[in-house]
Amino acid sequence: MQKRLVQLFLSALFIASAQLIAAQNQALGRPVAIDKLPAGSLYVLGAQGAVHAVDFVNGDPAITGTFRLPPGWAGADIVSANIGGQNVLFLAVNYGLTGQVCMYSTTGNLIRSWTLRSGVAGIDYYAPDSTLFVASGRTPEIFRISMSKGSQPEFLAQASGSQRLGPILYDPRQNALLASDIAMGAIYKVDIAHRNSSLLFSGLTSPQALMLSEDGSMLFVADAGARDVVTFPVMQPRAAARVFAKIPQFRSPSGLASLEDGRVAVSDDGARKLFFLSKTGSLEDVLPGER
Amino acid sequence: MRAQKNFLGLASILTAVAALLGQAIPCAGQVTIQVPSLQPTTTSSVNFTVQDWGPVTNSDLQHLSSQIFQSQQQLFNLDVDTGSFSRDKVNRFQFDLYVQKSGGSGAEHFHLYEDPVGVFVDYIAPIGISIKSADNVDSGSLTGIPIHAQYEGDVFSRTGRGDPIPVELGTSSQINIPIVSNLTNLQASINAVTISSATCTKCWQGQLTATYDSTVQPSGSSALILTVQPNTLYALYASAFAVDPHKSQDTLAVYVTSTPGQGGLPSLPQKIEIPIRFSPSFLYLASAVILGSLIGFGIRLLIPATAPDAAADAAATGRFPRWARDLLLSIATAVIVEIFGLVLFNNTNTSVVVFGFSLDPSQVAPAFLVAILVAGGPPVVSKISEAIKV
Repeated sequence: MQKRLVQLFLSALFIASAQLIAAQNQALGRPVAIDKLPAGSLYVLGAQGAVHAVDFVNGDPAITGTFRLPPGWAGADIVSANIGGQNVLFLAVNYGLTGQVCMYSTTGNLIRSWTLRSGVAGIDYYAPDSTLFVASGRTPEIFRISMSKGSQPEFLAQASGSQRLGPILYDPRQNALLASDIAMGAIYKVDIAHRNSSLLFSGLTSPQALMLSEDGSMLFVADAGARDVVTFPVMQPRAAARVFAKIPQFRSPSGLASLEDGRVAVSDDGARKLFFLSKTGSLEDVLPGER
Repeated sequence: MRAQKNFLGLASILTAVAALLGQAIPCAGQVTIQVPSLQPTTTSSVNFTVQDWGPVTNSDLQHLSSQIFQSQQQLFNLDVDTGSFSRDKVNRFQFDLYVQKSGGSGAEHFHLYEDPVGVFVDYIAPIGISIKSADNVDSGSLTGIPIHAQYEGDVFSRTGRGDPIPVELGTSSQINIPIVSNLTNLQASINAVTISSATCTKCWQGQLTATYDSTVQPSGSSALILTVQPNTLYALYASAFAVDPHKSQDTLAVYVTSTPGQGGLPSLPQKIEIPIRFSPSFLYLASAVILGSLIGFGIRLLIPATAPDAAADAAATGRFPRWARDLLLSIATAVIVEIFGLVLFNNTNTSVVVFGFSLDPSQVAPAFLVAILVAGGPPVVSKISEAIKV
């Protein structure tokens, strides 16, 4: 009798768990980029234009809000920022060959948008200067949008030698942009003051996301081709990569974000999951995706 | 969430039990594949990037939208997941391929990206593949793979003759533009059609709109039906200076945005040019002829006669005074010439040639000019002829 009860309980648990996972899978889709503000949710941009807020509820990651972009918009990058005391999201999306950078409220209201005719590959926002940096999707150009002036995208510099730009990251210590090349597997440093670029790191396969460590000394790179997350010492050009995390569940790591407690969140487009890694790169938690 | 963790634990136990019962899990790295490049046109190519995503079990394969092929020597099963046709974050077309040893269990999961270079039109093609395992080498072909361009060629072509299309003045009318899809084995979805005037924006009233079937079958025919209403005054002005019967008086630029099926990128707007000739209604033409006749007759009266016309004076004994008879005769002649010109132009495309210029009698300005000359008679014609010679 007791055995039967246990079996019944386990079956019920199995069905309930499967339904919970199915619901979460349905909602998460294919995460292509993530970002997080110190005081805010972890925001996830889906390949088909869904934006999810992920928070830790009772210690476990859970989707707490979702809004969708217009149909046909393909997500490329997401950056969250605090402007005038209000958290906003900058979203980089492509509709066919045309790029669009949109500023949304965290509840999904469109505030402003900018069009880039050559597509958009990556964005980053530097709050002290109120400047949004945009990497072109099909040319090696980097543009700048001054939020305080309300300007249109203005050409900033060219990542010479780059074949296909991916995500970009502003490094305030060097007043430079770190721009990844997903075709060459390289990271370029684009000096903003001198408007020139140089090869910083190579040997990657397909760098899909960049993130600086809290002290700004280490560059984290999600390499989709190698299915790992590696680090480089930012101030040592051409240094070799060090593997930070390489777990069997990785398919194509697509986004990186650091959490308040020092952990690292990794989105994975291929695995359709969010992975939460410890400070040392070991897997601690997963927010399951489809399949 | 706690329930989910319990489930994960339970799932691990179940997996272990399944493994013990003989549900084999394949080893990673047993199989490698290579996919050679394609060349859609002489100036374009598509390279394939392959990533090995590791081994999967038979149960993983059951959830796929499978299209299964066998390698040439039947050593491997090649399982394309058509449900995985999608785009990555940098817009590359991607899909999953599972390679399974014949008779074996589980499979190796590969992820393929297309890297197109150059301009071509999307199509479905077979792609070759070579497979290598520790003890075997084989090759195969995956058919039905969509090959997508980054820079799409023209998805549609306009069919029929490119002659200017007549649009009647003073009323709203519809223009039927037949098109055919250049995608030979993929559907095309029309996302949007916008229309603008290339040379005379003021010649049109209201918004120029189009209706269309949003889905066009492979190589299929369809039509864009444009609803337009000319702005009569501006259109008359535009047509006054474009009297050549074979030239357009405005060009409508029709921009078609479409998306090829099975994961194609929305194209940049494709421009289809529609040359337009405004055709005035009967009322406008009649007014032009009568006004032209009056002016021509008036000019004739102003030109001093070279010799007194005694015979005509003698004949001026009917019910009407001579000037009235001359006026009616002028108008009637101009009307007859205009009708004759219209019949010839519409049936044989013969234009009216005046002073060496080919004119379209269905337009207001030429009809007006012809009426002046006909009603004015030889004195007016010779005066104008002399003036042109000077």
